Amino acid sequence: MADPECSICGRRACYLRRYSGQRFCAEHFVEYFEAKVKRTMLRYRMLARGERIGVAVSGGKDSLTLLSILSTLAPKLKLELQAILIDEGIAGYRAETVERARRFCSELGVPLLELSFREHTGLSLDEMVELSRRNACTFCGVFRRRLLNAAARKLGCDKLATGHNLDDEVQAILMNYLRGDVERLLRLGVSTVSKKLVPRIKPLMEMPEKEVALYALLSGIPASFEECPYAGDSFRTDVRDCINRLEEKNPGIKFSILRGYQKLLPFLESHEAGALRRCATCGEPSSGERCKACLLIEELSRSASR
Amino acid sequence: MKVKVLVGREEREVEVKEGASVAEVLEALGINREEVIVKLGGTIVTEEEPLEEGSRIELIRVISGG
Ligand code: SF4
Ligand SMILES: [Zn+2]
Ligand SMILES: [Zn+2]
Repeated sequence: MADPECSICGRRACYLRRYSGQRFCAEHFVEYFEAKVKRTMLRYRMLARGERIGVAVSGGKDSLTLLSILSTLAPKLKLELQAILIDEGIAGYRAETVERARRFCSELGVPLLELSFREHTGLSLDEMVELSRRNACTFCGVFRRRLLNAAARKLGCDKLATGHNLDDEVQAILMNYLRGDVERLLRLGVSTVSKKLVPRIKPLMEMPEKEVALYALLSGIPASFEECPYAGDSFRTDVRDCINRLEEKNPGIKFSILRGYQKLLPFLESHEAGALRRCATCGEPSSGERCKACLLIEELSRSASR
Repeated sequence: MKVKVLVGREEREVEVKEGASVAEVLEALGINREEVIVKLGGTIVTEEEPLEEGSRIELIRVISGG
């Protein structure tokens, strides 16, 4: 068998995009990737000239790739970037990724705001997990979203950009389907849920996780490839394995899932559950009378006093 | 033929048929190609890359989960 060659220049290929049959050498892969992310941002009108963009960074490949691409676009679009880092408090994992995020932000000249679970809820994620039987990712997701939104709002950001890739999106879509959680399913796909929430953009949402990792490696982005110690035992992991098995046999199925969901969105939007109120306790946006973050904090303090 | 596979710090040896590709090695190991990037001799290659007796590939997991 001949060595796999780039479909554009004939050099040795480093990536086969199975769902289109194209092969790319390193140089053409990087070119394709950047062009596609830009196309995605245009297509969904994610950015407008002169906006202040909050960028959630963790030090992983997704967020640092996002920051890198946005920073190349910033001068032309007159964007003002502001990186936001949430330290959940995960021993043996977060310290290293935080360090990487700091270094990359200063290299790019992007200001970085750091917040921690500990200073905002009184507990680190590790401590929450010790107090509760709940999955770490439940606390992590709820408090991270809360802190990011509050920070972006305080900093006066017009948008909040996160590094969610195609795999993250498709996993979330299927998880919500499987749980029958129509409300979360809806909120996943709309950028502006309410005036109380800073509109979210996900410029990498059409890029498969493997492509993001490859881009980060090929462009020398100093990202961490470590896995969170809590990543193994979640529902998400089962869903991810299942989707990747399907994708292996049916290349392109991740895109079909995303497209199908996008077709459903207009119908979901007529669902009344999309409306947000203010939490009776903290005043933050909430779908119920009290927000998920407040409910979790109360639950934790009950466990702590027991 | 035998090829060597480096995953993290662990090295394994796999028996595959003559002229097998990276994809066949991953299949033999039960590793999903969506979840790894493969290096051969320090260069990133596609899963179609043909291997030889004694080839040594390195797998980089792309899943960060967090
Ligand atoms: S795997 Fe779970 S606990 Fe770890 S960073 Fe992701 S959401 Fe948080
Ligand atoms: Zn090329
Ligand atoms: Zn609240």
